[in-house]
Amino acid sequence: MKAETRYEPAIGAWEGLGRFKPQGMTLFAAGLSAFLLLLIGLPVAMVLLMSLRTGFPGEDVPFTLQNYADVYLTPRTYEVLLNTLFFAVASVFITLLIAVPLVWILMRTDIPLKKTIYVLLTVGILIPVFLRTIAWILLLSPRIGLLNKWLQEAFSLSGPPFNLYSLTGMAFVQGVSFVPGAFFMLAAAYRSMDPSLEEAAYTSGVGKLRTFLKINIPITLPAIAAVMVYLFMTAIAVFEVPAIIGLPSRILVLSSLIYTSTTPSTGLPDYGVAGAYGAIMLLLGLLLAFLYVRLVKQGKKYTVITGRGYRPREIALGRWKWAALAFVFFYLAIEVFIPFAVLLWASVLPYLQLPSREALSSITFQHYLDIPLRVGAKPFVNTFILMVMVPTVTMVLSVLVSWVVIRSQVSFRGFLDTLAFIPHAVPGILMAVGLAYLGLAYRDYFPLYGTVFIIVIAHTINWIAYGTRTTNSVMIQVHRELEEAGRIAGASAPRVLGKIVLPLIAAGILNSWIWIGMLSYREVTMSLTLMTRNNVVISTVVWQFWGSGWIPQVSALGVILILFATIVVGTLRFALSRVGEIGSAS
Amino acid sequence: MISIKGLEKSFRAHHGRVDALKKIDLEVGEGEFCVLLGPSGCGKTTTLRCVAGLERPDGGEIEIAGRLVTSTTRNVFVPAEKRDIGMVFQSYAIWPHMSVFQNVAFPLTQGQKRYPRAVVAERVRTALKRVQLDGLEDRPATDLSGGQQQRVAMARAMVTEPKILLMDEPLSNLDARLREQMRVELKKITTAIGVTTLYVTHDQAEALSLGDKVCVMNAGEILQIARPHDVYSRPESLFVAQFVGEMNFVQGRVAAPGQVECALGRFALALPNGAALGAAVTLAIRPEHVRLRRDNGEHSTGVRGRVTSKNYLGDAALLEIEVNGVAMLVKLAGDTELAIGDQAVVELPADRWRVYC
Amino acid sequence: MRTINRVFMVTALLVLALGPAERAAGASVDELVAGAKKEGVIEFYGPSTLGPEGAQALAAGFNKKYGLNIKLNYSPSGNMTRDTAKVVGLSASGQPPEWDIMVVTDAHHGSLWLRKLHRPFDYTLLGVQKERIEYDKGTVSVANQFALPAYNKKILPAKDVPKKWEDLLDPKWKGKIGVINSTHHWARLAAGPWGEEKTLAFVKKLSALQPILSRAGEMAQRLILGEVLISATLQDSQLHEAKDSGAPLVFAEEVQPVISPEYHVGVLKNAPHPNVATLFVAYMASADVQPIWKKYTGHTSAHVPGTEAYKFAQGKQVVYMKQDQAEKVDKIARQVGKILGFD
Repeated sequence: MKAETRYEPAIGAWEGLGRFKPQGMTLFAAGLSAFLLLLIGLPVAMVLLMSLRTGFPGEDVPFTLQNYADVYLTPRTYEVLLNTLFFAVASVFITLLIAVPLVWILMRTDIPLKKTIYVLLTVGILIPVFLRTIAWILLLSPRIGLLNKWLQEAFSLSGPPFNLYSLTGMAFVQGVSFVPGAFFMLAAAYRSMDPSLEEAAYTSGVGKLRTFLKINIPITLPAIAAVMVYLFMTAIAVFEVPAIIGLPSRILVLSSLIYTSTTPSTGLPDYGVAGAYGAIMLLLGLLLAFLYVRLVKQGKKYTVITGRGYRPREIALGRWKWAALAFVFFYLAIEVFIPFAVLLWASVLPYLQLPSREALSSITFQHYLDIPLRVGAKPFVNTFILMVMVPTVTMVLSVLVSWVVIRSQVSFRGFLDTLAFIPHAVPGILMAVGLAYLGLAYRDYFPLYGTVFIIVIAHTINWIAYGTRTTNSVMIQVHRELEEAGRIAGASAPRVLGKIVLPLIAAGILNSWIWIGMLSYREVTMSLTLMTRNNVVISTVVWQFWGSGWIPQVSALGVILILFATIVVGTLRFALSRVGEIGSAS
Repeated sequence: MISIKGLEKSFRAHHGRVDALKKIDLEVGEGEFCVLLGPSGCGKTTTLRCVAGLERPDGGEIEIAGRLVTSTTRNVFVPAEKRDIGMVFQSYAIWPHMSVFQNVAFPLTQGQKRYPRAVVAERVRTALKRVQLDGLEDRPATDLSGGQQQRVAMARAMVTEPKILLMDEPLSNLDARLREQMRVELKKITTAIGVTTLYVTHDQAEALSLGDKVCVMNAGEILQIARPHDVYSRPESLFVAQFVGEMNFVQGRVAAPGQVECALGRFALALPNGAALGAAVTLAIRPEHVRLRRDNGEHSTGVRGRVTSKNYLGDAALLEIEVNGVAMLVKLAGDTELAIGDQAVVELPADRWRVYC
Repeated sequence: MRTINRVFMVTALLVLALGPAERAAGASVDELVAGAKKEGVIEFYGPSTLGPEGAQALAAGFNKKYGLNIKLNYSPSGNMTRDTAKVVGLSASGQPPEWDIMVVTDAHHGSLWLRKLHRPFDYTLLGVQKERIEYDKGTVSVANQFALPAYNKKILPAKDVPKKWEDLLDPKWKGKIGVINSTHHWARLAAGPWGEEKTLAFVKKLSALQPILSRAGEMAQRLILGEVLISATLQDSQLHEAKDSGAPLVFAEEVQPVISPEYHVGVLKNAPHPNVATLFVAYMASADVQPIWKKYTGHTSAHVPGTEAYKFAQGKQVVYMKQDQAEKVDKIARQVGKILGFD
């Protein structure tokens, strides 16, 4: 009896639009679609527009293909493209290599110290990537890397065994830093997997490891694939690691080229060339988005992982417990402990030095006292605005979009769903460059350039795909009859949303809200691309301090922020443990 | 009370459009209990949801208590919340974040007509008492058993005293014993308050025992609307005969006017219109209408067969007899001495046969 | 307006035809002071290192000198490159600039000058030395940076310290030398004493040493840590910072010529407050400003006797950039960037 009313909407179906006189819901959905189309479409249109122009935003110049000729007739562009692809693929590979076992260990086994590990993973997200990168330079640089030196001495090697300054080195650092994000995304899929599927394997005489490889991984493959695509897009857009590790050894990727063409060290920004580089990124993104949609559709076959309310029995690790703990803590060491130790060390020195007796004698806490003076109040205020507004706006839009997509009968709901997913395919740096161009070229209509709100917009667009995926999955879990019962009871649509749907999805929404808030806090690529003197946020301050060589100062700031975040996240986790993992879908 | 005319609805599926409803007509009188019966995907739930206003039909009209609520030609569509109906869902749809009281009170506090607190309390109490849940007002909805949730859903559907009550397989999620118990209770309550009810089920026993009127549907069409007794004893089509109750089918041929020949012999039967001479027909007879005697070698009117299986049910016995290569199911009240392998004479009363083209 | 040259005349006519008319400004100190009184405000864009305190110290000195009570609104630089482009964009869309005057590097002023976005004035009338006036009377130099090879004196043995630029090309530096992204340093040599050919040959040889590339501040850290043994160039800004923190970072002072990027101050075309702005430029050229600028930014002018920069430049061959080199510097800087692998 179920089948007859549960046909999935065909994606992008326009058929039937306007078959009925526009009712409230249809009007609302149309308005929402138009708004999103404008919000997402404008920056993308700007990227294309600027790629067809030379000169500066605001200058009225004829359209030309000059930028494309400059970019795509140069063989170097293709070298850079190859670098970018290798970097992205290798980063994602390293991430999954760590994240997948980590998820299984934490979600399905009886490993001790779970809550503590969760808190540490969340803290890992908050450590700025470049600080972690400095720690890696201190360990793995071919010249001064401590690990390299020790290994060289211990095994009397002729040269340093590790070279951080390579594509592999970059991918390693980037991949490790993606792990917490991937962990929380994958955790949702594992948590809702029916444990009887695993138990069936055990009763068939299959061991734990083999079950993990043959049952868990294939079943969660669509989820893993989705995370892969998501990380891949992020890896293409990030530029902190490429800037700190790649640039010194002349390894360029697309994002560093886009950044340097809009923020050159000499001369004036070249928006046209940035746009032309962006076009290939956009193409890459749309290709991946197509792949992603295909994968997710395929994923629907595995209906078992969409079920709800399983309380999976934890697998007793027995003597393997120590191996699992060792793995987790090895990861936490490279993700959290070592960077934090380096940070702590750097923050108490007058200038950055390798550990030595002399360095020990010069310890000072002056940098901590100097923070208010050096940073000022503005970045904190701006960051606060960002961390409140971005998740709020994103989640409000996501809930409304999901409600239309999942629950309404509006004929173009599939289109709306696809629309909300598009930002997933557009690298953040491109969105930001497009917004910057929009703000500069059309400042009369879009007077937000240089304010923190333009960053709010960039972040909102960037995370609306993530937001709607979350709200979609949360809302699907709310049986539609719960809402229909409300309608039958005589409650209007908005009232049903407010009194029934929202209370039911509140926990899931709160989770995503916190998660997006944290992502917004640490995001640097878009904030930096849009930065002017008035909309500096903490992440860009940190970046600029690093650029100015103020390592001890920024380390002190980092230590304080991490301690603060640990306290907040720890309290939240222990107090609201019923809410579930931060960043998960339910 | 409910009047459905020319209702049409189709869905987009991956393999193209599927017609869920093909111009159906249905009238349900005041106080009547009408059951929509049919297999999965026949369109019965879609019909119910169209009446509820949860689904927009592609064509047709629906009137509830004389008020036009849906008309595609006149562009009328009254949303669900303004139809003054009660509905019990298959999943019960008890809101997990509310108590029993809050669930039942919801239509009175958040619905179209809002009532003062005292009235709400009084009416919720009455509704809960009616479903025998008085005293559980403050229980969180998540702490209820399946049967209790079912009762809360009923109480909630009836608390506003709606003109019509819609139920979508309300008993399908209960275990067998509880289902029979609730079936009796449900009938009592609806009769007591005299509400017009439209009830969807795929369980023919439920349909026959509950309905004042049973409407059998298949593939988006209504095949028969009749009293339960008539649906059972005089199914108008092969599908209805097949779907409602057990039935033996035998392929035959019209040998002469009023005469059908089949593997079991030649019978004089009332033929349906359009059964021309030589046409292939299907003969149908219910197992309980077949009579069986031990074959003692005497010459008799029946045909001879052999018992191939026996299934003892307590109050009856179900036997399978092979007659001239045809397997016949026979239901005998009480028990019989016949055992597997015995020869038996099968009697097939001519007035019990139904013939379909 | 008597001294405008022909190029500017053409531009001014265009401006008259296309945009709002250039606001009138006086030519003598008295006229300017009178005009400034009416305007009352100045929008000042300057390096973020100056800080609000430094900016207000400048305002106080200015008001005291001319007996005025002008309010100074300080806009610290966020990103000089992008802000300069913003001025270009604003002008292109026919709008007045946000700021009256900008203190940015000579290279950035060059970008503005190429698009005729200064408001020229004969600052000699206000007592400014001729050699400090640049860009067709559009700007006045305020302070000098110096760029030279730099190293960590605790790590690099004295015998290895380079004595001339060519010493940097020694194969011993392979993989151990650093180059910062201020590629205009090399372009300045190319436009000046070295010429294009020599410079590009030099840079190519430098590139063959597989230098470690990074931004200036980052490079200072790598030098301090010992990851980079020598940075082909570094600015004195980084040295000042290192000195303050006690880090052992120094210039290879024997190397010549010394590259000197300058900070210039200039009034923007269509500036909303031209009288205050013009007067303020004259004030910025005075010796009074040097101690303030030194205190807050660490830099002084090599053209004002007695200052630190003046003393440093004495007896050295120093490369300053002239306006006719601006275009060439921009072009070669990009070429150098490509050769070294910055973009």
